[in-house]
Amino acid sequence: MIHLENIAKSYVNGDIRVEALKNIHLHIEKGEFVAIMGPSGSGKSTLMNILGCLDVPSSGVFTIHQQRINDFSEVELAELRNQTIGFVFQTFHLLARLSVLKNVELPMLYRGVSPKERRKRAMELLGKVGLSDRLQHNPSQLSGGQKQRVAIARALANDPDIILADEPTGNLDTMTSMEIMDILSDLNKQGVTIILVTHEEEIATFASRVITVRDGNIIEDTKDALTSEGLS
Amino acid sequence: MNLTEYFKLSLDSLRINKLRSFLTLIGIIVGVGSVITVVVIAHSGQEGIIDAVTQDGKNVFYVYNSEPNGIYGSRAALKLTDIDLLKRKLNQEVLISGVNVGKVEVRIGKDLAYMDVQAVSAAYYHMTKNMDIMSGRFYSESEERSIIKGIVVNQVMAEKYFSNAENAVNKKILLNNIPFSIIGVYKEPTFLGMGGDSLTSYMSLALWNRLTDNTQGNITALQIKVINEDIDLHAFMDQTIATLAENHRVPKEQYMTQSVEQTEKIVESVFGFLKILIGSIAGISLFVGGVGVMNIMLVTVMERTREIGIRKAIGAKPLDILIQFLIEAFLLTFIGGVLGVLLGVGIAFLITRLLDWGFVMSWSIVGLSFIITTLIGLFFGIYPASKAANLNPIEALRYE
Repeated sequence: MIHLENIAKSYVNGDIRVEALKNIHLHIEKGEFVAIMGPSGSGKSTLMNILGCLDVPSSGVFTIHQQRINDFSEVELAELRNQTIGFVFQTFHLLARLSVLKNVELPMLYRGVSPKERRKRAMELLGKVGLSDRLQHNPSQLSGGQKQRVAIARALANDPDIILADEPTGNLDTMTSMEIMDILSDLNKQGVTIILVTHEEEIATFASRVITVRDGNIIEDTKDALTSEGLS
Repeated sequence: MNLTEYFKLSLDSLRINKLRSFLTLIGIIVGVGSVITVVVIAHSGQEGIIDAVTQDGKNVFYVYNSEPNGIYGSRAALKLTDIDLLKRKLNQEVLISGVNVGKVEVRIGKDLAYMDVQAVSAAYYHMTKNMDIMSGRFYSESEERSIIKGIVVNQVMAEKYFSNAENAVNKKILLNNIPFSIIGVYKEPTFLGMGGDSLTSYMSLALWNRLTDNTQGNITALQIKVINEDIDLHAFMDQTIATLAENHRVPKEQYMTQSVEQTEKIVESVFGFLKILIGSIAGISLFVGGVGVMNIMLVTVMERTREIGIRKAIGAKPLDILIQFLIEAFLLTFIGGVLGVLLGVGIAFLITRLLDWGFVMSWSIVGLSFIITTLIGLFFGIYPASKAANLNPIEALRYE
């Protein structure tokens, strides 16, 4: 479903040219639960941004559903982010000034869903993550775990194929982290492709495949390991 | 996403920053408010003055001696006899009144005062809209020719010395020690609420000429009203002058005419100029208000960088962001415009009330204000909004 071939990304930071990604080959099938690991500065954030269609690669071929993302306009990228991808961020990134319900409605608003339908779907999703009694609260009135559950509900609003979770447990305590990972695992079981960026081994164990990035290269992919093991 | 949704979004964020939104609005409110105040007051004043100068009605004009002390001397002077001459010679049905004005010493019992006198023909009564007789009567044409010394005085005079209008009728007063009797009391139209407390009066030209030893029967001006309203007034005024010039054996240039319409046009152009002048000064404050809106919008965009990043990440297109912020800027100025119009109209209303002017609403300036504030909102909003729309989502998300 997601295919990266020979992807490189470089950018200029002041006078220095930074090669954030070099020669990345990656293929992710529908329904996979992939963890991307790596130390800071490894290029995993850049990879995440490209996978999330927030950024475009400098070279190489990137396709989702056989569509070449390289050629997409900003508007097409926005549509893709809106409908195919759901984001879950470390710092939640909820709109502080909107109610929980409105936050979840937001992706549907940009898709042009009618207010009534939006509301219905948002309430349904918030029910699923156990926040039916917090609809009119502001994010600031919620605990970290609750915020992340709102973010997950928002990510699911347009029924995306892929959930990109960037350090989703980075700001949560262990117990809450486990709750959040359970929700993501459940989603994965329902067929949603999950790509998880983390640097915590424990969190990565939820994934069925772990990719390790270092210095802009994928240095380890457990799938390859499995396949090669299987082969040998 | 439809326009209503954008409006809701923008209204929400304005509501959240109530105080700041209001402070930003002040610039626009003051700008629009001052434009509206000035224009509505000027408009009301203009209507008042035009009302006053057109009180003698349509198709009325005045004839003056353009050079009373010129080389033709007294030969050129307008005389009572000219009235009959014109009535005979002009090919239109007209009402003509001579006009002399002056001041006279008046003695009422033991009191001594000075009174303005307008000496006019009896026909004058039928030429003016604003002759409101409260008590008694205006002198008739037959009275005009008799030697009965009758005078019509204003309400101020009647109330000051005879307690009320009814009481004043038939009372005797002395003008330059000559006894006159008050035959009528009239209510003077206020002129922009001013000049309501002086003593004024009307008497016939014959009486006035005798009172002032004007044995030549000279008159300062002729006031002429053409009954037929469809004539070419300009040509008729020329004909009038030509007739007079021929009779007095002087060149036509000796006389000049001024029609009510001409006066009206002068008043209009003076006020038009005033409105533009003051309006453009007030326009500067609108511009400053607009810059204020732009400033606050730039701050807003900066503050909400992360919000913009989030919106973009979850699928907002650049146009969505652009419209959201543009509508926010538009709403700021539009709400300012509405409040400014209300404020301006309110102040103008109070001031016209205070001055006792008639209040005349100027809808065109209200419409114009809305158009201008909308344009200001869009003009000063477009830069901050496009800045927001073009933010890079990754950097925006990282913004602290």
